[in-house]
Amino acid sequence: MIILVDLCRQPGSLHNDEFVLPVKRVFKRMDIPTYPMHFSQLPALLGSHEIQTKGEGATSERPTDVMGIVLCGTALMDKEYLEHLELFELLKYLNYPILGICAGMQILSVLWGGKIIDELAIGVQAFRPISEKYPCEEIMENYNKDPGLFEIFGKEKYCKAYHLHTLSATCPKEFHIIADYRPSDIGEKRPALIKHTTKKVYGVLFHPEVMNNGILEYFGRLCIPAL
Amino acid sequence: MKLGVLFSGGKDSFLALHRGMQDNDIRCLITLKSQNLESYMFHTPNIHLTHYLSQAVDIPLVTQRTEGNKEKELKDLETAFKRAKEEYLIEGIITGTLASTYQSTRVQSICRDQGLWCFNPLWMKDPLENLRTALDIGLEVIIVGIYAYPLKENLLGRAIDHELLSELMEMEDRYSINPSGEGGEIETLVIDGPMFRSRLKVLRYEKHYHNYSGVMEIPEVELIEK
Repeated sequence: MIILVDLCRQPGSLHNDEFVLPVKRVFKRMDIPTYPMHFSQLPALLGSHEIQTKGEGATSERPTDVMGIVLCGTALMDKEYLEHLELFELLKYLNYPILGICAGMQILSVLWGGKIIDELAIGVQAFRPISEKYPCEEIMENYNKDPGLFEIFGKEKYCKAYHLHTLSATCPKEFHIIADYRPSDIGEKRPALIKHTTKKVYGVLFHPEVMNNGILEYFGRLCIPAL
Repeated sequence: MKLGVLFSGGKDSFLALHRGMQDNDIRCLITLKSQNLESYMFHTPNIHLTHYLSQAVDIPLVTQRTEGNKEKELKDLETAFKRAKEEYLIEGIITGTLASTYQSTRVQSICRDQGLWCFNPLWMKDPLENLRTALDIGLEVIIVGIYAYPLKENLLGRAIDHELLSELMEMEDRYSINPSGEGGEIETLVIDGPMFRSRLKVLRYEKHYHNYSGVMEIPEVELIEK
């Protein structure tokens, strides 16, 4: 199963319907079982498996039936998750695939040494998959590691995505940028989709449960290769 | 949380209201009366009936008239939210938006500017699942507007039940009609439901239909105590 972590400030709130259930529906269409839970429960779930993360005997053994984790997004005004970043520390030591959506990407970025930045984006905007169409050595290296992900975007120079955030995040050193976007006409380009260089850990700033369901489908197949 | 519901009287407004009522204090309904029948933002057929529906569910109504010009109507929506915030001390807005990023983007932006939470509990819900929920919770929904081929005049005034649901599913397969009307193909009116203290009885109606486009205008109703 894939664990869907609700990052909204209150468990089971109306925002769960808006940010968690749409992700669940995409996986349901793929017959992938999911387990929605509030972020406050995350240490209990992971802790119950006695994952020792530091010192001799450290392990990244995963719970038996968990195949992946998605950190879902939150409402524009909800930044409560930033007050509880310590609850997510264990994610760094796990070996199953993790996808962070919007607030989830911010958390992953911070866990791996990145920074949160103020940036407002509401609505549909273009992003640019950094594909083999614009080759350079580094991009081709990334492309060859993850061709399936790039194929989602086809051969288009720009794709559209639904953004809903007041904060974004930098790309940490251990990650590479898979797609970028420009939040305003004159602003700098910012990471829209990032991936850890060696682990199956992804962050996406926009909402693939709204547009670009292919990203979630790709992640689902990554978690459950038998699909 | 004290919330206002963006309200048209159609099934999605009522589904959002129903979900919102589960854990929140619904302080008011908010209706934009658009003069533009082509509005992308607001439902228009029989919008005057929200006055009666507000009485039927015993929740106050904030109404705001708008000419429905593309950008001006957003200012009017902002004014409506401001009034609801001042008069009913709401902290957030619930909408019945299912999939329209156009509507969602605009409501989200206005809510942010006003310091209001924005909730879209039906967001990305499957249209058929949405209709089934309406039936399951006991909403009595009639069709009052149709705007696509091959929707025929006899649909106007018809109640949505399991039989009609099957027909709409067939139309979805054959003609890509969104069964929930999210693409603007169908507009609905709710006349009874679990949150109603009195039901809406249609006393007089007129149907206007031409070339797969039609409206059932309802100039006269009464509330029947339950």
